[in-house]
Amino acid sequence: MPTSNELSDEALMAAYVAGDKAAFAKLFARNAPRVVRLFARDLGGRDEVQDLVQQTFLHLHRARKDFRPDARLRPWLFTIALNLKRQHFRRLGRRPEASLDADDAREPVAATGDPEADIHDAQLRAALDRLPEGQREVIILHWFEGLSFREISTAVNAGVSAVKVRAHRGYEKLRTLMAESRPGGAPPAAARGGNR
Amino acid sequence: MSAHTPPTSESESIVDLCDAVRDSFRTSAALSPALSEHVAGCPLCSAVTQANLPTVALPAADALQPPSLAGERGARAWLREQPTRVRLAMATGLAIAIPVFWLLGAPRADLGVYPLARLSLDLGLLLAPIALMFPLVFRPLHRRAVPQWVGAVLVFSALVATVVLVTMPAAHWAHPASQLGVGDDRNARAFGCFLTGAGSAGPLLVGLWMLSRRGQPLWRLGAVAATLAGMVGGLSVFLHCPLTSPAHLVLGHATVMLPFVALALLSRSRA
Repeated sequence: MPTSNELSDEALMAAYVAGDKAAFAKLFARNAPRVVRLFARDLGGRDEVQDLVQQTFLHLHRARKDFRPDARLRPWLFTIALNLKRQHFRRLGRRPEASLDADDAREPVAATGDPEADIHDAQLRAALDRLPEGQREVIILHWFEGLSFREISTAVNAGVSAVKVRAHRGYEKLRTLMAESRPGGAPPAAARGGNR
Repeated sequence: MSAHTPPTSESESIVDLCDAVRDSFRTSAALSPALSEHVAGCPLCSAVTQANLPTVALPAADALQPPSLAGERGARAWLREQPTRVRLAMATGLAIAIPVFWLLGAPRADLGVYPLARLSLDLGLLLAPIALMFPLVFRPLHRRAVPQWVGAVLVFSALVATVVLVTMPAAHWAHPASQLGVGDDRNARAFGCFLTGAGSAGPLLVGLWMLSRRGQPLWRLGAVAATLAGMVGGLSVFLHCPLTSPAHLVLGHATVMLPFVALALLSRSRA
């Protein structure tokens, strides 16, 4: 029998719906960092981020009886988070993309401590902010949050094909924008990681 | 295949291969021969590999606190945690019960002489926006939100329907009760209808608030919910009041919407 640490998100959610209160804390511990990262990319204040994370999980609690046993939890949770983020920006009266001036107030995309990587990070953030919202959302969910195309299609309520088209256009545009942001528009350096 | 046309096959194997390529690159793992072959023929995966994106560290979890569920007690908490289909059924039941209360308890006296075609038109103008607004009000947050303009169009349509309903020529003058409210008693009768309509809409508004999962105060329930409640109030007074004078309908029936339109505007204002 698997321990609670080995249980899938869906099994934990099923346990929570069935009344196991401890499952909620486990779901939070496992998924809150991903939700933080989703919000931190767009929001400046740590308090704002924390507040939205709490709201996301409060909604998960309130909507738990809507969760279908055959559904995947992560796209379900990310749809809640994305909707709350949109509502938040609607209340503030601005687009999700923050201005570049606010870059230093936001969480880095990749915390490396390496100055060169930080420059790359700032360029990446600027490039992401210039993508159309639909493409940007798909790339964030696909690359940074690691959702599968099928999970993303659930989260953004679009077909897998449409999501792949958005991803393809977004990655292409991102590459172009990143190349333009380098001095002299130099081609990208060798990819990090060394396997390709 | 053009540069912007990635393979769109819905077959599981292709989709899974694309995800596997992404996973390999995110974790700096070596690509298997099968994945390398896939990348060579897949524009999307080529774009992913050429984007040169960094791997990502997750923030520490120990600094995060789960939300307190201490406030999730009582009748409202119980209602809003019911499945969406149950909450929708409860709200629909309430929205049906209120007009039916008037229809059965104190129906308009002129129903027997009201032209059928006009009755169908009037009921259609009232019921269509109500039927369209319910699914929007109860769209759960775990489904992607519909664009904001959809709600705005529904609210606008409901207001147009109300204006059309009260500004059309009188449906008939064939019943003595329908001829009232055009003399000295105009304001008093109009005020009575306003109270009837607004009083009928109020319980539905409270019901929608009790069933809402968002936890906002009643006055920020939302433009569509407020308009929906106002329309049910308008339907209630339509089923109860036999007066057909357009002046009475404007003063006594259309004004039922006013407090709810005000609520709708308040809901749309920024916090």
